[in-house]
Amino acid sequence: MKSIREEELRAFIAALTIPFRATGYIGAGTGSLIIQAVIAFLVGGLFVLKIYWRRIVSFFSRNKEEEAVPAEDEAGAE
Amino acid sequence: MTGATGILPGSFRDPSGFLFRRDGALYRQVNQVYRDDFDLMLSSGLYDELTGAGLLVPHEAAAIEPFIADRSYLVIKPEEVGFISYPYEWCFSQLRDAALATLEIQRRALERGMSLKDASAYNIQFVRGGPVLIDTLSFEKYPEGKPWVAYSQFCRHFLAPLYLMSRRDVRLGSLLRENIDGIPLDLASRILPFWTRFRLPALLHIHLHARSEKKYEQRSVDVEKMRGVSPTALRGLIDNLQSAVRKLRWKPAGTEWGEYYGETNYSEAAFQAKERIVRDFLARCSPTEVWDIGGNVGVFSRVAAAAGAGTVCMDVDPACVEKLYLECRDEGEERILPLLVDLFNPSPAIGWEAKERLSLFERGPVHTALALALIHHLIVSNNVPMAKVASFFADLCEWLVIEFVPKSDSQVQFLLETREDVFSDYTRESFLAEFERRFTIEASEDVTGSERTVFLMRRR
Repeated sequence: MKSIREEELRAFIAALTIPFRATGYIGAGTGSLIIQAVIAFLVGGLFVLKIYWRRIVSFFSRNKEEEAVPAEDEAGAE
Repeated sequence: MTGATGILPGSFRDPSGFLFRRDGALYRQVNQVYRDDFDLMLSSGLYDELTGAGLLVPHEAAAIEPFIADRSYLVIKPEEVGFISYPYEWCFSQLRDAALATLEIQRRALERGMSLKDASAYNIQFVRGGPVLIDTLSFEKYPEGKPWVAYSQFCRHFLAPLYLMSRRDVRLGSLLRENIDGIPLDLASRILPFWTRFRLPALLHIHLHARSEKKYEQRSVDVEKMRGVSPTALRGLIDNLQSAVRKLRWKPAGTEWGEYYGETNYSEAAFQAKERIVRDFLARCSPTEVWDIGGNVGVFSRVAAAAGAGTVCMDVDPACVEKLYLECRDEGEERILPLLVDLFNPSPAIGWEAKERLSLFERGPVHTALALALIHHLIVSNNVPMAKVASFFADLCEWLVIEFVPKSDSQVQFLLETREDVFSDYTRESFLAEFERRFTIEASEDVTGSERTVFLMRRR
């Protein structure tokens, strides 16, 4: 399994530090922007965990498939 | 729809461009200020990806004079939408699918370095049965670290009404009609059941969101010092909204979908006879577009659709509209648009100058209207005089397939059980007199096994 890549980690930590200028023709609302940053940090963390969980699951299911294929071949050779 | 030439009254808010008509054809002027974003949408491959997936309305370059030349970058001709519908006319699953389409568009845009700068439900229309973004100018270059500027709008236009419809009462979707820029989150937070505070998506995107908006309503904050949102966190936000919307469901309480068909006094033979008559009459008037008024679960809308007509099936019952939409979606029926319409109180014109969103009837007239098993509801349930019923349809359509239901019919008797019979003009003679003043009767046929008659009429 791959370890968490440095760039993703950096981007993740940057979530609380990147400054921005609010633009756009619709008013985004100060309170909405503030809570969005907090919510995005929280659910962004869950999102990263979800991605790595999927990678773990697919890593093990791939291993299982690889084990299963030779077994079938052996069975077929008999 | 609108006049043959002029800027569309609902298209003024976004400085990036606007829609206009010239000689009846629809165009969109793209302004100079939007040049870089428009070019990026094309060069990034986002336009091809979204139009290929049926998520964005396609356009072609139009070699015509711009409407306001000194601001113009170019003019495009978008594919025209058959019938414009509004979020307060959608059933639960239509709004849900529109929300999911918006989030999917935003997810794909972020992957290509762009972001939606608005998330208005009015930017989504149902084209060939599915939700499509019709505002080609909704994208902007995504600068890293910037939060999603349309997040609040998405929550007001989609999330709040979906939560209210799913977790409190489906009729609360009509709040969208009162609140043209979406349901205020503090209002949604107050109406939602208390237990929704213990569900993470509702807690975050509705309740805490509403509190934060209230808290900072009157406060000044230095935006330069505000914290941003990393690309990963923003992807997480979109992913979380997607899973929140996917989990929302609605089904009418205590009923099964199969129970939904309003007409109960037809025998199977009479029902088939009526279906055949409607099919024959529609073949005679060759409709391009049909409005099935009071269409229930769309049995006769299907007959119209099979005849090749784009059909809008209007009914007041949210369960009927939901059932028909889900069936059409699952079957791939592209010609029927089910809509929630209360004929006794139809969608008014709303918004700035009461011109931004058209009333239901400003979106007509229609080639052919179906008014089957309807007249007794208009006259007995809503006390509309026969003359007004006839003039209503004369304004609405060129061709009319209408069923006359006599007072002796069991359905009419049922309506009269709880009210005094003050409907002296509800007779076949009065019906014919009032309608023949405005229509010529092209054909009529009694429905075998019932006391009813179906007429095919053409406006004089």
